[in-house]
Amino acid sequence: MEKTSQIILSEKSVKELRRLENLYPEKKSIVLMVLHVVYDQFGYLKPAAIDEAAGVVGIPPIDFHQAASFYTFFPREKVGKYHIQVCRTLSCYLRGAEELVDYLIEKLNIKMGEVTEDGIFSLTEVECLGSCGTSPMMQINDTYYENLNRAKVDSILDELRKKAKSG
Amino acid sequence: MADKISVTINDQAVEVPPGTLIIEAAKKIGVKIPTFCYDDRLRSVGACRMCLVEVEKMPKLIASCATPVAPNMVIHTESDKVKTARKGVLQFQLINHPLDCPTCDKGGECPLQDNTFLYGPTESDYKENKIRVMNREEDQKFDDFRLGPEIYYNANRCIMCFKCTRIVRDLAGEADLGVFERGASSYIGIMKELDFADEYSGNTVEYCPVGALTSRSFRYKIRDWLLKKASSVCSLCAVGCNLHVEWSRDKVYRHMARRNDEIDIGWLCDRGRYGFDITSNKDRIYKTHIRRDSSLEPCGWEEATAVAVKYLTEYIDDNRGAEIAAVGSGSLSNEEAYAIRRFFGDVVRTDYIDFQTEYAEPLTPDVLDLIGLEGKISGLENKGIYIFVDCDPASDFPVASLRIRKAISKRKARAVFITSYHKRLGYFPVTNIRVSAGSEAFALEYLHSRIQGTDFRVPEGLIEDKSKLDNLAKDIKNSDSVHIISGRAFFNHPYRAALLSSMIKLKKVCSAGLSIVPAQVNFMGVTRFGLYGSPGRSFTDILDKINSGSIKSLFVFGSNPTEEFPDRRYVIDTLRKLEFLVVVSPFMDSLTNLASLVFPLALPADYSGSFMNMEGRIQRFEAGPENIHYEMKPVWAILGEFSDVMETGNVWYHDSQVREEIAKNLTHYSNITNIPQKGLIVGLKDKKELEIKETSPEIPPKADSELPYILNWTPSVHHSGWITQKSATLMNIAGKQEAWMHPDDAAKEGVEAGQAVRIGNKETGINIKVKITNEVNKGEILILNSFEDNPVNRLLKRDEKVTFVSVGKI
Repeated sequence: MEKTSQIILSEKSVKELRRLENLYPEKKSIVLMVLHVVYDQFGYLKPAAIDEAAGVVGIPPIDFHQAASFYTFFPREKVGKYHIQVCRTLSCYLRGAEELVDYLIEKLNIKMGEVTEDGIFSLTEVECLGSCGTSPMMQINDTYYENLNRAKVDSILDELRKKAKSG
Repeated sequence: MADKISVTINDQAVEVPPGTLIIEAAKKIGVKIPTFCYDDRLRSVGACRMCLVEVEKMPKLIASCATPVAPNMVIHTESDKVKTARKGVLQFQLINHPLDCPTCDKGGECPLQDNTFLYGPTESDYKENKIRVMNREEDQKFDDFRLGPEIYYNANRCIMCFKCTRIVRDLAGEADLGVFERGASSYIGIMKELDFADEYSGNTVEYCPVGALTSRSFRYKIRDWLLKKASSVCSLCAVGCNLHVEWSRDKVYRHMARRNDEIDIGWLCDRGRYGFDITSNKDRIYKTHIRRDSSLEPCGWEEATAVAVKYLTEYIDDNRGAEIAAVGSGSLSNEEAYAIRRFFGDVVRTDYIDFQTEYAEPLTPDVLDLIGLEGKISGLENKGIYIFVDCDPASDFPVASLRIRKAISKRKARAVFITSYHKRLGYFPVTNIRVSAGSEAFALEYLHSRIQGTDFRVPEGLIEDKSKLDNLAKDIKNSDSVHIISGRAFFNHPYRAALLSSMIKLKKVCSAGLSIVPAQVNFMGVTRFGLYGSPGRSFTDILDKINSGSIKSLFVFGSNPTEEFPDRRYVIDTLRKLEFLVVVSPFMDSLTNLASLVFPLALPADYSGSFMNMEGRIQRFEAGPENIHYEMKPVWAILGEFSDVMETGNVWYHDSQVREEIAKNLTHYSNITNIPQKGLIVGLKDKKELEIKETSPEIPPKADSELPYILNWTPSVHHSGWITQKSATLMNIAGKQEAWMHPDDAAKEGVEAGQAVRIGNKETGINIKVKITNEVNKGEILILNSFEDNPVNRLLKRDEKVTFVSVGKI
């Protein structure tokens, strides 16, 4: 296939892909790991980056796009610097997840699934994250925030915003 | 392990080899297990659960398509438990299925419909709304999504059996179809902007167990139960796949596979499947035509016959039969070839009878003996190394190449292309050894020297990477089954003698098989039944004789030299000199423009006869549509009518009559009157004994600054010469004609991808769209041929081995 677009994968990512390339006897086994490499670099599964990674490891791009659409935890569109995932499954729901979501929507001034104008926050609802004992809870990037209430959410968001602005 | 395992199915004992699936064991004793996703040619996935059976001592029902038999299994396929399970499975399959059978094209031939009727519940417990996926794009009808130029997908009807993706992935090795999302929202899709149009895409439609995949050319046209099916043989390449011509009244609606495990195993390529509408092309001739005052006008059959017969009789009476020549084609049936030889050889008494209208250089008898497959098509799947010499298996023998793909994916066989432009077998791993155009013989000689340990010097710049050949030589030494294959490009190769000599040298040193696959369906047949013109009597000689005035008239049967011969100008100028040109052709085109008399020729769907395929198997094909209103006839019928008027005997009314005569007159073919279902194998000559004159390779000439590029051409994979140009469906799939250019050359010329340029020399040129790719060599341009507007033979000269062209902006 013709590759005319610019190279967007970082050197580190390409190095990792090369390491993965011949890791398993069945080449296709690395599909998920390659998706992680792309996710780690961009924070979401950028389609152009997937195509490029597919070219590096020599697996048809469609294999990655299929897998990416199967696993819903991979964001497939650009998300904020801090990606907020609020649990809405039973325990959290009973302990006020719905109200929490409404508050986040109001506070961030975005709809569900959108990114704030400054690109700092994005908001999604997810199913159980396995932290029912500390519900309601949310996950921001790789960190759990538990036993939430309005005040706690305020301070978390303020802190993260500060962090994002200071670089 | 025991040779056989005995199991009991529905109280009936059966013995099968270990590893047999339960569903196959049941099939052996005639027990049918309903299924959607199972296909004995594809890997089992157990996706549909329709084939659940009960095995005693197993706690749950098991999928019979994914479970091999074990000793003393007791299996029940019709127990109450199984029946209830089937009802349940069907309820699940139908939850989101729209039940739009009255408007669905699969209706009447749909496994889901049949199985629901046979095994399903009468009512569903599911009362909620069905999910409906709609296509919001404007140009789409109903819920269908366009996957490619020919194939549309309806997500609502899909039951996720993964047959289509398995066909694309495992069989063709392509990667253009995939499963997206998951659960109830999963669907079959393509990558954005990449069409689903690989060489075997049509099989997904035929084997889809529901109406999810449909063909643009067939949908909404006619119902399955209104179609009649004629057992036929594909006429678009030398493999000779079996197919059903499905027709109603005077129209062919589609081609469907007719499984023959010796040849096609039930697969068809898109060329064979979608070439069905050649018969209803707008240029098709249905009546005889005669030239009056420089224009062709329709006339009665008797008048045309009388004119032809009068002309022939004059020459015969004057003993001047040798001033008449007859030219056939490799697409004619065995019976037609024989009829031409009988009529023109015995009645007209001319020796100038040939079919080689496509070759600048006719084949000598010793080369002719080498054409064809060594071994059987079924034997193609058990070789260790395949060496393709200037050959594109996907285009030269598409369905037979599936066996090679299987060998690569299942047994890790090696496929090596010695070629001037990049070739592939889907995504299966292959090696491309790139040489400059026309220099394949150097690579083979070098390979030979590496195996022998001798010295052979290859001039600089002809082979891109010699180390690949060194590796190949090592592999060949360790392998006991090598097969060398060349295809249609061989016949017009500029250095054919050297190429052949080097292939035979290599064959001998590694005791390899050698196959040269012809392009035309019945090449093997017509050469054996009388159409081969020996040296001095071939088509090029006929052209010379026309120019010198010693041949006055020409009869052309089913071929089109103006489209095929590699020098269009020369052929047209020569044919203009004829006193009398009779064209027997299915179509009005560039050749009939020159004709004095035109007879309408039947196409293989219209009449019966037999073809001999590339392995030497004679197969019969049956007539399809009723043509009572039209006057198309096969060649033997036309010549039979001539004979009838001339009272010379040789009157044939049926193809079997011709075969009876062949059986009587040609001892080697005495059993041709009785062709079995699977075809009649007549042995080809053993290639082990063949000797050929050794010819050393030649360095192709270099381009100069005025015409800086070497012209290379190949038919696009959806084409097999001028005849497929007449299929509107194939033209739609094949898309626009392209010229491939190397990025460096494109940069030098300042040409961008997709731009139209003029490729040609001082006198003539063709306007064509450019594709920029490093799959061609620098300094070479590859043009996809077989497009009516831009025939490549306009640029070719018969006496120039290599054609040079320039690229100009328009």
